[in-house]
Amino acid sequence: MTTAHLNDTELQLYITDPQIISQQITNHMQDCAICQSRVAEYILILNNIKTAAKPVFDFDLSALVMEQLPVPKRAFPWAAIIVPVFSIAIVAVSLIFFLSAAAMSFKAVSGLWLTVAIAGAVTILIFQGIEMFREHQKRVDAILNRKILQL
Amino acid sequence: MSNQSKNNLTDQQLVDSVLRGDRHAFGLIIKRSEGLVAQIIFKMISNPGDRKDIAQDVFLKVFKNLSGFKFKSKLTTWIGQITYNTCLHYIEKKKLVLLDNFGTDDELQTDNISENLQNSSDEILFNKELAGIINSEIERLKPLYKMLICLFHQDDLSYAEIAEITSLPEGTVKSYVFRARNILKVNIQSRYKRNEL
Repeated sequence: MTTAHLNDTELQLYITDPQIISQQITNHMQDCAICQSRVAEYILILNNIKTAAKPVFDFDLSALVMEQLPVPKRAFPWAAIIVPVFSIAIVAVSLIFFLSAAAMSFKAVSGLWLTVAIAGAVTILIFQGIEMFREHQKRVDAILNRKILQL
Repeated sequence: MSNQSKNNLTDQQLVDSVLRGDRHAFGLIIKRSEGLVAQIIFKMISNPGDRKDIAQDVFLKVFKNLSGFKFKSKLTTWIGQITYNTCLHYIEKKKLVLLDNFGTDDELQTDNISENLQNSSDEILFNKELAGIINSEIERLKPLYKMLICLFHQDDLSYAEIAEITSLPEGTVKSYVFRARNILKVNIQSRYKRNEL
């Protein structure tokens, strides 16, 4: 058995990494009251550290940070402006150049064909409207889910 | 999404959500890592007035650099690293001392004091004010020592994780933690003896 008392490194290893200490040290610890007492001191200190209250901020860090996060810059809605303007321009130009020809076409087309064409157009519009409504509902649900997640 | 599934989100899912513009996911990241950030800041920064600014600064840096996070470590470890570096920068700026030359003479009069106090060690151990003494002695340690000892013993981080946070070699971290425990023990014994006298 080792008669010399353990140094502080060995004492700490005995507590924190008992699997790597030598058998000699283990044997010494079993018989040495002084080293046992010193180990007990360490254990008491370390247990006190472990059970001590952890520091916490006395302010709402999350709220403070969130209000400082850079707001994502919204891109200028080019598409939302260009598409309608371009569409209106095309319709306007078409009307200017082909108004007389269009009037003649409508006169030439029978009432039946005109009804069929309008009914077809209305049907397509209805389906598109339903699809838009569904898409809108999906997005609303996603936003609501996100708010629930926040709560 | 329920609170439970919200808590089950992985680091990858959280980061992806934030990068897609979900700011609430970032709130969740803050909640998850706030404890570690507080531990590091409280141990390294003694001025309470500066802690608030540093904590905010840390998370603004995290937000700014989140797209560069490579998932090579846990997200909290990466945030701990940013916190530690931010505190280091503050300490350098204020010309404070993180860790002096280990104070081998004045701080670490180890075995002799320990032996001298052996007779009173039982009293030390069972002093009802021991917890208070230990807390105040931890506060008197050098910032790096008190942070390392608390990360290891309170937050249960491994030497490897602490090494990652501090960018110190694992062996150095281990050695510092050993030294910190030793200084703490000696100081507690010294203080107790002084009070008794």
